[in-house]
Amino acid sequence: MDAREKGTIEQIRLETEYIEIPETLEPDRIERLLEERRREKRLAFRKFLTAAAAACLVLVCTGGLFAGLKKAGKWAQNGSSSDATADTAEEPEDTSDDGPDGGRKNTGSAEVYKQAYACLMAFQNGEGVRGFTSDTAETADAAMETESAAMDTATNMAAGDMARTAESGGYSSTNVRQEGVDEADIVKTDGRYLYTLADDGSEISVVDTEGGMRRAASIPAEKEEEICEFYVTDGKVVVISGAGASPITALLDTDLGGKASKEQITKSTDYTRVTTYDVTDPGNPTKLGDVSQSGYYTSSRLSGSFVYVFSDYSVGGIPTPKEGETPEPLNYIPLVDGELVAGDDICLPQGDAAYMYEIVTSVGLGTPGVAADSKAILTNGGSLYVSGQSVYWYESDWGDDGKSVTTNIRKLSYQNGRIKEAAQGEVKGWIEDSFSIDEYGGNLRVVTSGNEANAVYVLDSDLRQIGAIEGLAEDERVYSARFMGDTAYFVTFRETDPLFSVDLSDPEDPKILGELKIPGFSEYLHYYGGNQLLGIGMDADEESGVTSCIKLSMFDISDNTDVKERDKYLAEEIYSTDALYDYKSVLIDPEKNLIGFSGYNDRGESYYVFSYDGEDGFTCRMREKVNGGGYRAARGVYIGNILYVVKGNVIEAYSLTDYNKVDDIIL
Amino acid sequence: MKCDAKEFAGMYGQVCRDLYRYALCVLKNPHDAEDAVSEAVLNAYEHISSLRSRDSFRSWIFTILANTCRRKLKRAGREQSVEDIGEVFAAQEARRYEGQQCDLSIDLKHALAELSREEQMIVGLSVFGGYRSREIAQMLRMKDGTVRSKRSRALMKMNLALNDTSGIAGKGN
Repeated sequence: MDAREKGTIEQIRLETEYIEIPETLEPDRIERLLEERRREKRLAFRKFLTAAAAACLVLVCTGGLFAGLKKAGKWAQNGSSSDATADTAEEPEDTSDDGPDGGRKNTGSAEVYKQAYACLMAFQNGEGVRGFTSDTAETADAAMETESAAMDTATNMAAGDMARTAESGGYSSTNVRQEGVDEADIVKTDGRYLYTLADDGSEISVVDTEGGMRRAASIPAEKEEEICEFYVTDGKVVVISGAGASPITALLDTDLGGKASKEQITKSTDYTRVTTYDVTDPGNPTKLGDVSQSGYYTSSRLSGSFVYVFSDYSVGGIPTPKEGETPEPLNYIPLVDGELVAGDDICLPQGDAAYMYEIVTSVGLGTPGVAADSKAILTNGGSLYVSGQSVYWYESDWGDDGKSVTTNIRKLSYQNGRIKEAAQGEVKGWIEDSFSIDEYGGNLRVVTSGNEANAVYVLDSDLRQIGAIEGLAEDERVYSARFMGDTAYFVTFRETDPLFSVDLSDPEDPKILGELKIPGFSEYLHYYGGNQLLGIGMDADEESGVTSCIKLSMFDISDNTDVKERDKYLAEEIYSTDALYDYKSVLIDPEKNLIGFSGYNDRGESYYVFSYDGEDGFTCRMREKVNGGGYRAARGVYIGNILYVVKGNVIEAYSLTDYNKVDDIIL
Repeated sequence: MKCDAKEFAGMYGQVCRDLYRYALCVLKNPHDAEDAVSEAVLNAYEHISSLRSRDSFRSWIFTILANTCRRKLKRAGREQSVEDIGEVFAAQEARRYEGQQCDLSIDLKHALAELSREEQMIVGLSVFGGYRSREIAQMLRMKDGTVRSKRSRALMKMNLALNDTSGIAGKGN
């Protein structure tokens, strides 16, 4: 934090110094409240036990019948839900249900559950939080890898941005990290209808843009849920929603959760739901099916005809089981579709302690009511990068002294909805964001920042390091990166902005090609067609490094050994923009020569459109106040020649010819 | 660890002001802040067995409060924002806290209004929790780098708003 930031923090502290707490929150009042609570709870619990007595009786019988099943992955549910009891009682041969595979799976689950439990308890008890060992690659799936490598070139071309425009006709789509892999967002269009999420997540409005904007329909969130993001694809809207824990948590705490319905169990923790609607008639969305999973929504991808949904599921406060009892899996194993994730689908960490799962579930567009596959990665928190065929989960270990940062990378392969654990590896330093990690030709290239310097690593498909350049730009850190085929560009910053270009054509021997120092830094890099790379960032004082305003840079990359900043534009009135942090908020279309994003100035939020040409450099084409409200950044979407600026419940339409406002609607 | 209501209240007493101020900055009104803190306290007390040591009480209960506030914001978003509470109700509220200095200054309210909810939480945790970006990243389950950039942007906005000479806040410096 710089001095000004510290000053602001101090100022806020002073401004709140006088604030006293309401009487009800005084420690002695709280003490009394807690004592009362304890008494009430005891009474309530006794009532609850009496009511549960009948159900318990059934449990005992089932337990006797299915002693053998107890090892099985889903024993907790079979053994404790009364529906399952009835079914299985009639078919005792169910014990060997899934054939040889099922058997293996079930025994596996018990073992994996045990290990998962040990990891979670280790964290809970504060043991060995740190440290994963650096052994790599366990179960790389060779066949899948080969296939992946072949697909790489097709899907991973950064230049593909151009293709997207042509392909999708006259309308924009969400700016994504990986060409060919769509990402959910809060505003989408199919070329005629706009789909926009209400700022509070309560509904998606469907707006017909033909002949002026008109609201055609609404897709409301399920009760108690909030819509996070959605996809529009092929006559369908895939809605991802979530909700926090409901009061039933209390019930689970008593270890008797088995009597709750699957739905209730899922809802007992944070959960995420994927609901698919048919919108072949956009005025009349029809629900097709839904799938739920534990944890709150983190991200998702749409690749081929499958949506992959990621959620974070933190596990804490696991009750200690009574002497001689097996811990209740519902307390520490996540659920997908109301079923415990099987042992085979849990990816254990290299280290011996973890506190959460990153769950990924695939849902087919044609089979929206079931999870096609799912995996739960046991982890200490991390970030996500998804290529055309792999999921990379990377988490940094900051070391006990905070000096020796390492990042553990776990790779899962995916194809047609199937997800497989593939490899595990490690690099020094931390990874700034998903643009600093990139799969290409079967290899993984990573730009990292460390405490002292930066580095570039190349890992093979088993995540074994095969090439590296270390010790770059000492005392600076990576601000942005972009991989384009065999070349990587990245920007580090302390006072000036060196843009590095790296030749990766020989993965085992990456070389620095060039380095360009300019004031300020680019937070986001985007290929702008021809030999041009666009940077959006901040201008900074060369002496002090203090940032002042938003800066657009156009780099000439025709000679990647000698990259030049051909033009720059200082948007002095914009002090910040979401474009720096959220690439989905940017509208960039080289073919239409359109660079759009919302920026904050002293009057609030405005939407800006720039164009660029070699002669005149950057030109600001539009600057219009964003009139909608809400905490999500405004989105710009175009259909044909109309730009729609969407914020909260307000959509404003501008002509892309003269940038005059042509229409607006309040939803 | 185990502890009784008295011991818990003792630890709580050390942090209660910061907890309340944090909730107030994020939720913007005394009533909701009061609710959030008491909810978090009850929740914390019920799960005291998952707390490893007394030393981590502060960050542990702050994490619980941060999550409670986040849930409340989600719910509030659905129901109606706090600004829209009817005048009658607002007057009642004002009476309830009369004689107590329980609310934010107008200046600070205006400055906070410039921030997104996420930014408010990050600023709140920096100011009242005294947390560094990495710790905030863990609590809010975000990336360290993201927290740093968001914090920097949020503080810039706060700085502008708090020291704005032309606006309603009219403080000057």
